[in-house]
Amino acid sequence: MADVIEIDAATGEVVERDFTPEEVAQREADQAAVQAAAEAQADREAIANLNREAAIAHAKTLGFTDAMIAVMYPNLVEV
Amino acid sequence: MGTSSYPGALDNFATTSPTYLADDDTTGRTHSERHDDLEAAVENIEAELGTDPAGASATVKARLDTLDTTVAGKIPATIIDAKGDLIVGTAADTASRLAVGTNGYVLTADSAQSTGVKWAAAATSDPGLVLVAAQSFSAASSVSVNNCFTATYENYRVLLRCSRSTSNVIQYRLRVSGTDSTTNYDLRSAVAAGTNSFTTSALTVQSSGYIQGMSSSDPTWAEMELSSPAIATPTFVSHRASSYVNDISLNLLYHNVSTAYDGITIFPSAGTITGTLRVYGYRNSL
Repeated sequence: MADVIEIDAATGEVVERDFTPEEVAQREADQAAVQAAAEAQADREAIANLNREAAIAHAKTLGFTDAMIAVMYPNLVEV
Repeated sequence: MGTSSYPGALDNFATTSPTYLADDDTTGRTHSERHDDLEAAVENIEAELGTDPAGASATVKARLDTLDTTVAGKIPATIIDAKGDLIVGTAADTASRLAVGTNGYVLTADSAQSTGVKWAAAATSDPGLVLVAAQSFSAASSVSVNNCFTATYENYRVLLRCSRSTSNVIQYRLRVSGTDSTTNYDLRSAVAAGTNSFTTSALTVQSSGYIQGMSSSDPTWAEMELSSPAIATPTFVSHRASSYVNDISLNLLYHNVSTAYDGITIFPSAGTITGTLRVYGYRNSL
């Protein structure tokens, strides 16, 4: 199966072909960008989880229960 | 009653004596019988021609000459080559053939054509979505649709449904003249990955847009709304995407390039995709 399918909406012509060397290079760059974005997102989520856990722990030191925390901050803790 | 072979055949009267007109002819017919024969021949000619055979012309020959000229100016049946062909005028006193059109097409006036008319799809004034392009694909690493964004419509909708060969992120780029734009895609997304809460993110100056921000191998359904892609101004794209089980993505993209695009490319970050891509234009009411 060809790598690329190109359709001309004006004529209905369909071309199936392989990647050009330039497109191969772009594809590799795209994959690297996706990986970098996924890693950055994972880092952000990890930080957000740490902050979440720290916030819950601090709230409990103040005497708040999970139910009280859930009322004040929905989605922060599951009840 | 004399004898004449006309009109069935031509008469060939025998010669008479040039000296004695009252003598019989060489076949033995008498003078009076020959008179009868000639009279019969003349009467047969008159019967064949009828009364006033010249009509409005001075002579029968003149009338026939006029008829020849008239017939020569008529349109012959041989101008028609196939069922559905039309005879149309290309100029004063000039006829030509217009070949039969595509099924469903209607005859439309067009002064740019040599025939003054052409076959074209029927126009409609109903507002709504108009299918511009549709393509099924199998195991493709990249799917591009060219010439789907034009000045005909201002805004477009793109529908994608596909399965994936491996875990990947489905991306897209706008393109013009067969070349993708690889810069200045600013994306804001909200993704719910198997949970009841959304995680938001912002990506700027990316080389593409992300239809679905989460890597997944599940089938995907995506709706994309493009604002003025064929106008040389920045393009706004909003899209919703969902995979089979877990992921819901809500995305807003601002492509900060003032280019009039005519197409779009959909591609996975890895592996291949199999499915259907449809592009619709929003037709406003007339």
